Amino acid sequence: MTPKISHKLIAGVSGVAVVIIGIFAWVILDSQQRLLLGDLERSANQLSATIKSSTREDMMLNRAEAVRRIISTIGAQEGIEKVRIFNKEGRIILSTDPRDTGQMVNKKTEACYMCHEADQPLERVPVSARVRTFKSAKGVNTFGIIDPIYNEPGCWQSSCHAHTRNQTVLGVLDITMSMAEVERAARAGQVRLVTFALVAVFATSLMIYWLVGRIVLRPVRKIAAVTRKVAEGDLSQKVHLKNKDELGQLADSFNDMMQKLADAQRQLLQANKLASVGRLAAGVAHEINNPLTGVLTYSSFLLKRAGKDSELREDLEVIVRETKRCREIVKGLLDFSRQNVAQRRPVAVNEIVHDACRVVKNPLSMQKTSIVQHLGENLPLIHADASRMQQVLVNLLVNAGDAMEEKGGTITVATDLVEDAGLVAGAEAPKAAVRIRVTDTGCGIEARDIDKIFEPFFSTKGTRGNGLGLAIVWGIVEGHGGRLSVASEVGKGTTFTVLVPLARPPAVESRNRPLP
Amino acid sequence: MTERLKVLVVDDEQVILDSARKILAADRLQVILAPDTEAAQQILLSERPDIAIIDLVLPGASGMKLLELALEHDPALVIIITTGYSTVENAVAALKHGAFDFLPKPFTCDELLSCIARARRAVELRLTLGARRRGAGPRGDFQLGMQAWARPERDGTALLGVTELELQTIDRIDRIELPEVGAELRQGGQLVGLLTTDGLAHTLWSPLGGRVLFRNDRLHDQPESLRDDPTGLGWLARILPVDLNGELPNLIES
Repeated sequence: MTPKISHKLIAGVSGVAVVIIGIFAWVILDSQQRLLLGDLERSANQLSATIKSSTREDMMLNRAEAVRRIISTIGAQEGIEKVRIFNKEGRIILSTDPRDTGQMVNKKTEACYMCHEADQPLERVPVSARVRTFKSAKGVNTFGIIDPIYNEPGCWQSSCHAHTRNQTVLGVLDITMSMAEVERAARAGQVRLVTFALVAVFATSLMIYWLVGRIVLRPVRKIAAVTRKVAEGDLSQKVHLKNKDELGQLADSFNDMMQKLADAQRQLLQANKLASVGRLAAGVAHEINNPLTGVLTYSSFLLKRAGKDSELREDLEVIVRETKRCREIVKGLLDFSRQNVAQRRPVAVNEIVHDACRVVKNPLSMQKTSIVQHLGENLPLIHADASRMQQVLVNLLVNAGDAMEEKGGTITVATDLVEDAGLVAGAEAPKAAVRIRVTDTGCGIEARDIDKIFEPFFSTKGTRGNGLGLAIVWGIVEGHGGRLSVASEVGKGTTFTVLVPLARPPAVESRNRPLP
Repeated sequence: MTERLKVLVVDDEQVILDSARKILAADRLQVILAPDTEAAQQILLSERPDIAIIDLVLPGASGMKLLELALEHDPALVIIITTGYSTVENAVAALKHGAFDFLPKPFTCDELLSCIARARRAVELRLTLGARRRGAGPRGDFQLGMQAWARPERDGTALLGVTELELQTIDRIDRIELPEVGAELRQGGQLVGLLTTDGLAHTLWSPLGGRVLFRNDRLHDQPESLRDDPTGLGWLARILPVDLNGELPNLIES
């Protein structure tokens, strides 16, 4: 199975969530532990102060039994492991555990080390330095605090004379407490936190899954479905997304691309069609020439021999005339098949329009048709073969004239500049193009015919046309990297629009020339 | 003319051979037919024809090869090339290689007879190949065969006209059909039509392709003034050549 975007995103987001929540939990747990330890420390300290003050009186009076009783009572409280008193030499003189009494404490270990690290024992130590944690013999984590018992006048003035005046520390009170309770509380906190973290990660993943599905996957699936249909050959497909985000933009560009692709395919199809028709035409023309020569020579020879008033003369004239028409058709086919040789250079559109209008003016005026020119001023030059473009215009003008039928009318030729013509050309080519529009007030083109008019051999003129005129026009315009389109309304007229790319600016043109 | 001229017609289409025989025999010519280059070569050697009408597309060796062989054998032979419109380029090449004229297929009886009429005159003139190819124009002119000249000028245009030699092969000119201004000429396509008093219509092929800028309208009223100065004041049209550099090599440089 291929990994899905949603799975990858969920894995990524979950990973990040686990790390962040983990660090967060660790920090919380750590500070909670510190708090608990601090509490323990404070209560141990208070406890040791309580023991000291409650035993002070009995100590002064050297009532060892009373001291032991107090310590035993306090030491029996829950959580308190041991309460011990060491003398200056490290001998345990009193303990809640009777087995310890009389034993020596190694000064290098446990609680002693802190003060006895230096050769000269420290006398005043802060609370934080007096506490310690360690594992007891039972394997329970244990917390210990030592509290030095300092010499005071009451001690050395006492009648027992157990202590001299120059002693500073008389002994140490050591309390050890089990940490089991604290640890239980900490563990409960941990469990809560971990549970919360897991729930949070799971919830985040679910949310991400839902969001990714809604914001990304649904539109992406739509685009993918359309792409599949396009791959199957249906170029009319469009992606309909309401999104205004990047995916919406992607869909828009996709639709735009499909539009251009469909246009390009249509044009390619037409170009291929023209090319094959051209080849076919050349082949047919070549094959037909010889038999046509036979017909034409025999018939014209017969016509020549027929007497001036021969009955046959009229019939022979028809044969010769029609055969000559065949000859013109063949010639037209060949012209059509070789129209791809073009000589392009920068030329002025209006000049071409002028020339074309002049060529067709006389025959059109006989059809009661006039030409009106609306030519744009200061139009840039176009990159074109002037004679071919003239052929385009002459063909369009003659067609327009034919569309007027007997009634006559007006043909309007207009030229102007279009800033963004959307022609598919090289990257360096300017976007702008010159537009030539030939509008007639003739019969118009039926909607069902409008797609066919550029097809070779399609003609509505019956015997008057060979059906190649507009195909040739189309081929020439296309060959110039331009575009030919038509808009028509039956009974009102037709407009043919020709877009021709501009001549490249001199800077681009001269790029390949050596510098002067 | 007392002696009947011999015409060899080479074509692989029987119908064309037959029709050519009928038309040319009626024109008081002795007609010999050949269906391929091999037969044609033998006839060239044995019969020594005055005129040969050769189709460019033939089985076996091409008409062009036959043209070269024939001229090698008899430089005075007047050769007319027939060809379809699709191979006008080849016809232009044939003119450069010494053909007298070409006749695009399909042709009418009159077109063939006009061509033959000029060929007869050419035979009478007894021009050698060298003389025909030298033409009559000044240096710097280019000729399409022996018929028409082209003079490229510094402004990028070119003047087109008819050679003195061509004028010698036709009768008095009644009417001249000049191309329309703005019309598109093709190399080897029609430049002008010349209607002569003997009732024939001669077609002059254009040495260059291009758009007609000016035409010599003076010739409309006085077509015969063409003969006064055919390479100067008798120019026919000024054109904007479409592919001067591509087309000049097809012409014969004077």
